[in-house]
Amino acid sequence: MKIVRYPHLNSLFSDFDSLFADHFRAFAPLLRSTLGSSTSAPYSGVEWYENEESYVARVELPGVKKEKLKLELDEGLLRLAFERRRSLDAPGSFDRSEQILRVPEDADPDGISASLENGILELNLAKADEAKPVRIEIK
Amino acid sequence: MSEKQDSCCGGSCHTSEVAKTATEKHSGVTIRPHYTSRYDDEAWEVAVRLPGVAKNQVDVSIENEILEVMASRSNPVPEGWQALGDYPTERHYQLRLDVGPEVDPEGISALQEDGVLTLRLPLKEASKPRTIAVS
Repeated sequence: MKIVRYPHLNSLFSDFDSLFADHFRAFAPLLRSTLGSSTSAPYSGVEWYENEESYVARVELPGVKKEKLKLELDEGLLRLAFERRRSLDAPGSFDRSEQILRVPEDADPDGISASLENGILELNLAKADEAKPVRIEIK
Repeated sequence: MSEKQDSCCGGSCHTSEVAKTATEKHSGVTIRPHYTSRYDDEAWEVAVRLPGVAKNQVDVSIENEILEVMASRSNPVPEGWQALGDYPTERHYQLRLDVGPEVDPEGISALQEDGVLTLRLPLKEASKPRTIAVS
C-alpha cells in the first residue's frame, strides 16, 4: 500500500489565513482582481433585551459613522440604510448596504431613540402604554 | 488604493451568526472576525471588523510573518434587563494572517475607528513593482 502525503492539505485546516496563497504569491494581483468581491454585505449581529418599560436592540454596524446611517420606520419594520468607507485611501468612496429589523408589535413608534458608538447601534424602543404592566396599588 | 479587494470571515460569510465560528474560550466566545483586504503597489490594507471594540482593547503583533489581531469586548446585560436570546457576555476576537515575506513588519500601522481596525502593511522595496526602461 502506498501512502501519498499531501503537504498542502494542512493549509486547509490552518488556524491562520494567508494574505495571499503561497503557491500563487507571484500571481496574487491577478487572482485578487479576478476573485475580488464586494464587501457591502451586512455583517451585523442583533441582540434584543427588554424590561418593563422598553426594548433595547444592539446592532453591529462596524465601520459606519452616524452621519452615514439613516433609520426609517414603516409598518413595523425599521430600515437601517448605511454606508461604509471602502478604504482609508479613498475617503469619498463608500459601500452602501441596508438591514431591516422587525420592531416588536407592542413598541411605541414614537418612542424610538438611537445611539451609535464603536460600531454598535443601540436602539431604545419604548413599549406602548397598553403593553406596560399595570401595578395595582393595594389600599 | 486600488479596487482590488477580497473579503473573508472565518470560513463563512452568510450571516453574522454563521460567520462567528465561536468556540468556548475564556469566559465568553472567541470569534474569527470578518475582514477585507486590498492592495496597491505600495501596501496591503486590511480592515478587520471589531464591533464594540474600543482602541485600547485591541492588540496587534507580528512574528514570523504571521500577523495576529487580538481584541475583546464585554457585553453585559444591564441590571433589570432581560436578554431575549442567548448572547455571550464576553467576546474575544482573534485573527491570524500569513502576510508573507513581502511585507515590511517595521512599517505596519494600525487605526481603530468605528469598530473597524484598519491595518496598513507596506511592501518591502524589493517587493514593489518596478518599471523597466526600454533602451
